[in-house]
Amino acid sequence: MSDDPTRSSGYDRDESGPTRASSGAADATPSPTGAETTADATPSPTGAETTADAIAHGLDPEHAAAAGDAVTAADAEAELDAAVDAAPDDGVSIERIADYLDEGRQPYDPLIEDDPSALAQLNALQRLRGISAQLLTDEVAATPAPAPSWIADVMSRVRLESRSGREIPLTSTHERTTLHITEGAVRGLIREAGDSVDGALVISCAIVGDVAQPDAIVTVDVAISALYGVAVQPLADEVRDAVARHLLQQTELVVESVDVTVRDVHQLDDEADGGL
Amino acid sequence: MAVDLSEASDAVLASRAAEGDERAFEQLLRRHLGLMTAYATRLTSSRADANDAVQEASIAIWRELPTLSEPAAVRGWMMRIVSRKSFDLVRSRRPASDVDELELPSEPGGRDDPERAVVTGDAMSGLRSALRRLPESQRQVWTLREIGGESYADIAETTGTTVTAVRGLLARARETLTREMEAWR
Repeated sequence: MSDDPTRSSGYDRDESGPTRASSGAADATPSPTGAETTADATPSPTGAETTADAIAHGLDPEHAAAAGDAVTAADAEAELDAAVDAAPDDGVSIERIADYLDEGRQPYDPLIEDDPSALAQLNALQRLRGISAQLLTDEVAATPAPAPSWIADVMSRVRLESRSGREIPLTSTHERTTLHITEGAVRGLIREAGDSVDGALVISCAIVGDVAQPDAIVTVDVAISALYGVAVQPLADEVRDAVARHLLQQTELVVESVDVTVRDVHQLDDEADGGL
Repeated sequence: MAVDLSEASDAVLASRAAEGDERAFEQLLRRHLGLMTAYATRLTSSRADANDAVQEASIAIWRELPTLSEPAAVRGWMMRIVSRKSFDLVRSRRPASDVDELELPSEPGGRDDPERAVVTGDAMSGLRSALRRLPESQRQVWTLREIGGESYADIAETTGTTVTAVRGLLARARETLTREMEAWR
């Protein structure tokens, strides 16, 4: 079955718009009808393909009408796939068994659990999954660390696309020049101020208000993560003070309030293995 | 002094990076670079292509981070971008290159890792060579699903096909692999 050239070619030829557009009809086709018919008419495994083929063609006009679109070879092929998968040679299809495994074997499916060959297939899939999970882990361990220049390249491209956000006007000492500080820079200040408080880590921050207007009144929202074991209320107060102080010293923003939300609690891990 | 971000969670790093924190982004990238590269290597069958694909993916990740609605799910989201960029690259190379020769290590390190005991070296190399023998379309769809954990809809979009076709390719790949697996004891 898997040697069938028309089907193993898969998506290699399937990039055109019309084919994609018509795929909805194929996806929406419930296979149960195909399954019943095929099961009735299929005396042997080899018969399945022919029967499925006939079904695919038999169903074509209906789907063409539903999709309002010409039936492409891909449609017929997809129908064939659906029919074949619904009616494999040994009872329950491998696709159904795999889906059942994906669902954590819930709800209990007696058609699979009580059928020795289906159960054997289920166990085989589970074992395959175990090996597969290990495959990439092994390959990650064997992947050489990137050259320092690789990271540097990426980061320099990232800096070219810095998120500066809105422009916040600053008072200029010269009448003919205008000065701005970017919203991105102010966010950086807020993060730095919040992070400087022991046990606090800034998750996100926002400057609410019409910052493009000089002297506009704004509010600042800061969400933080608190180190496990640190009293949350005093920590939030400290962060609020630090942020307000930094903004006062380093910007001309008129900050009406700084609202601090403790959104998360984190732990420090001595192993520094990247967890939280 | 800048705060140490090496212990911050993925979700925190993703939120900060989305708001323009480049240092948080670099940390996130370094943390998952090995995984991204190994995944791209499987998908492109070439280390050099994998490095290029991951570089493109990294820039795309930075660009698209503000659109990520679930920061805690950033790792899977990054992996999907890696597979998308890997496929872009493989497609752009067609039909000139022959990607059937995998440049993957036959004996990766970490032999004394206790977790390795669960899977014998025979099973692992059995899976590797069985994957090499699969038709390319089946191998790629299988990799996206079983290694990348991607949804059928995402796989269909990445590979430019339908969900039905993805399920068909997967079923055949699984049949072949479980059949061959019987010899890997």
